[in-house]
Amino acid sequence: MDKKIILVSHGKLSAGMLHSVQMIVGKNETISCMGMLPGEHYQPMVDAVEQQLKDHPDTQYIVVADLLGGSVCNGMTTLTGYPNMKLIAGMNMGLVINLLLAPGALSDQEIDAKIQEAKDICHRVVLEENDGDGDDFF
Amino acid sequence: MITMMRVDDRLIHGQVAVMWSKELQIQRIIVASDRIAANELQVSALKMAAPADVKAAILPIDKAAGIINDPRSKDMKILVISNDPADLLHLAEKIGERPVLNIANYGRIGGDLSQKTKVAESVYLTGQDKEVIEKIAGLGIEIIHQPLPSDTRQAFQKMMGGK
Repeated sequence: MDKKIILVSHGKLSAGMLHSVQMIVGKNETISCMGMLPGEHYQPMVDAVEQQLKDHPDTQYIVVADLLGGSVCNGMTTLTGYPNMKLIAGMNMGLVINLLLAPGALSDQEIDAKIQEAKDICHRVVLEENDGDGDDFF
Repeated sequence: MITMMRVDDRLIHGQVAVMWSKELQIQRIIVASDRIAANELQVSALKMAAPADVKAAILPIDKAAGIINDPRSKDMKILVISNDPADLLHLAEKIGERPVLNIANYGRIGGDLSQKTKVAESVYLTGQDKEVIEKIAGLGIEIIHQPLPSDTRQAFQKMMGGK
């Protein structure tokens, strides 16, 4: 089963995320984005995603939303009844790259594992002292 | 064994740490540079930038050569990086292997860009760089330009206007 990733957000976050992710992974047909601009309603985005879900029932669509509880994510929840749709909230660059680099459609367990990895890389950065001398190389 | 050498101003960063490490199933990353290995802050930052399942060592050239020549390295997939081709020339002179060298994201920082030759979107060379690169090629090392695994592999010397 093929997989498509759709980034959805308030404003231009999803477009910026797509741009930034492609700096690392290169151009990629698997991933696309939609943003709800000020004054717009999320429904057209939801309708567009629903159309794709209906048109390509053999493709898994992983929709990655910016914010749990935000209106874009809330709108997308109405589509979670489709068996070929998975919805994730809490978009970040590591998560999107990990989802993108995983081949093919993903099980719920695999998606949960990617989310856990993304949580782990969200942390306060402290440099550990070390000398880099390679004594532990082998 | 060294699977690939890379010259990259940004050293261990997304394209290298995420994409090339995965593509080549890299187990170890060595940043080979006397200058960088002497900078504690940079050493710590680079070690942190390596993927979770890849060990990174930031080593002066001599020490890097010693590790690469160690028989225990034979079965490992190693990626060697520096931000200066001269480092990799000095390293190559001290090791038996002749791994491919990939030059990308180099030369945009440091020095006067107008005095450099642009050979690719992300590669700018000084006259001295070109001499160093010719010397590396002279050791029997294939030199390519391929920023990402999904990019086309190009012969670097052709782009430089040489052979």
